[in-house]
Amino acid sequence: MRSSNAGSVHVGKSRKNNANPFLYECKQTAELPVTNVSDKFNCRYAYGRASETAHMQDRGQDFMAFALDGGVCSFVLCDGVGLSFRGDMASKFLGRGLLSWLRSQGELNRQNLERKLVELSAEASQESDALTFDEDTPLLLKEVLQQKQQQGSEAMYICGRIELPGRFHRKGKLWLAWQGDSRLRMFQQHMELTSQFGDRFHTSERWSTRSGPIGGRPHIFESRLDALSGYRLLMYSDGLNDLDPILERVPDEQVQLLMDAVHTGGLEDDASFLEISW
Amino acid sequence: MNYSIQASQRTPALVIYLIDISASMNMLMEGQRRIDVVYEALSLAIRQMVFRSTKGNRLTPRYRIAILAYSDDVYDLLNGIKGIDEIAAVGSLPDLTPKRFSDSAKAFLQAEKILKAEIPNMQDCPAPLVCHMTDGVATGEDPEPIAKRIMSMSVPDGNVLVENIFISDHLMSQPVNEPRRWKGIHPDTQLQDEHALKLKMMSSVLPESYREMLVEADYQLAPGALMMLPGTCAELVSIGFQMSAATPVR
Repeated sequence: MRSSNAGSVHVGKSRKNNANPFLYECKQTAELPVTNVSDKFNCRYAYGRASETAHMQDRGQDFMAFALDGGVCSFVLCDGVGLSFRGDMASKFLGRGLLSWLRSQGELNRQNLERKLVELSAEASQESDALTFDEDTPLLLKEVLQQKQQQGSEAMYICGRIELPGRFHRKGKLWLAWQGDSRLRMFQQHMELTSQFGDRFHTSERWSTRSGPIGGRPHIFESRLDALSGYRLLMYSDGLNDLDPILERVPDEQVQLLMDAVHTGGLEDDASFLEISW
Repeated sequence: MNYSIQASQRTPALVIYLIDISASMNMLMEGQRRIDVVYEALSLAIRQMVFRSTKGNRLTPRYRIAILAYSDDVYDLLNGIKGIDEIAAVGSLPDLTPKRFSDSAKAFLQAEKILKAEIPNMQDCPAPLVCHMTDGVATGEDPEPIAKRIMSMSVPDGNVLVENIFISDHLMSQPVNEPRRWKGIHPDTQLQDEHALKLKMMSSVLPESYREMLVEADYQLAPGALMMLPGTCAELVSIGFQMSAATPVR
């Protein structure tokens, strides 16, 4: 299996070809500049931590990963809720769990997803409950952390799977699921199709280690892909909301400018960027 | 000017508390001395700030606090402005001991002095907030002109906010029976007490971003409500102090 990590690629560098699976999983402890991988899908991705987080050498609260398995691309982008207990842990746990599920599950549907989200919450709760605090943590801070630990960790997410046309089906398939306000946009031949997802991106909706989905049920979108190519699926966390009004494909250098955010002295919030085109 | 800048380590919020410690604060409210109700509510607000400043296991100094207790004089309880991390490290607030009179003008003057020194360095920060808690008529000079001057000071995020918590049994014509369903005091709300009317003139409109935070905490204050709370029960006093900590954060 090919794999990529934060230290091994450079801005704009392309990786071509190969039938072997490709897996990218962000490191929450380091930035990844804009990176491209091209196979049956073209994926462009970048990861950055809020300047405050990077300065303190803390873990980012976002988690992003994707896998290319021949004609199938599975992906996940999670935004840990900073005010919950260890949002970084929640986003990583959820992201890894969902990606593994997407890659191994035959049929994707709401029922299976909801069951998986509840399963993951039970496992994550155990891990979270086992965390302890340093002896020298001030009492008030310790009490607040314990209160947060009891309430659980939370993360918003977008996940999905794209299946290209194959031997057994003439049309491609797209399956998406999400809870929260991370951005998910779709284009075909320069036309934005995002309105098909509806006004269903709400900050109050998320996954919790205590009870699975909260604030509402996961939103699902599934579609046959009529055209063979010309699609572009774009997702990013709210740290990159400067991209919201832009319809055209943003060049690598300009995405990197947003990731560097020199104009504000660094990112004000964690930022994950993933664009998949085919 | 829409109170949307989020409190962060780089752009911390500044909250200045002005606490009346006149002799009447010894009077009882729901079986507790008023001063003790205030101490508990202030401690809860500080705890809320710690909650909102914690990311991972680390406390980021997203809030900077000054606490000025006033009677005949003004007492700077923290010896200047302290970060929420410094306050959490100490663990508890200094005691509040009631004294004699209630010269709020002196306290507002001291707050104005602090703001004049701080505002030039706060251009990227959330608008500062002055939270005033009193239980009676001010002795000494009229505080209103000073409060108005403070309310006219500004940073790009908005004008300095002034909030008043007035502990009194005679403030509202109708008692607030359900604090969580209460819509708040509005500019056209009739108040019975002359001093309450003055405090109303000294209260900012609750910014929408603050109101949303309070709605998330299940308080139903309506748009356009003033940052003024009738401290007729401990819960309302507590809402008042929670309001002071409702600066947007990530």
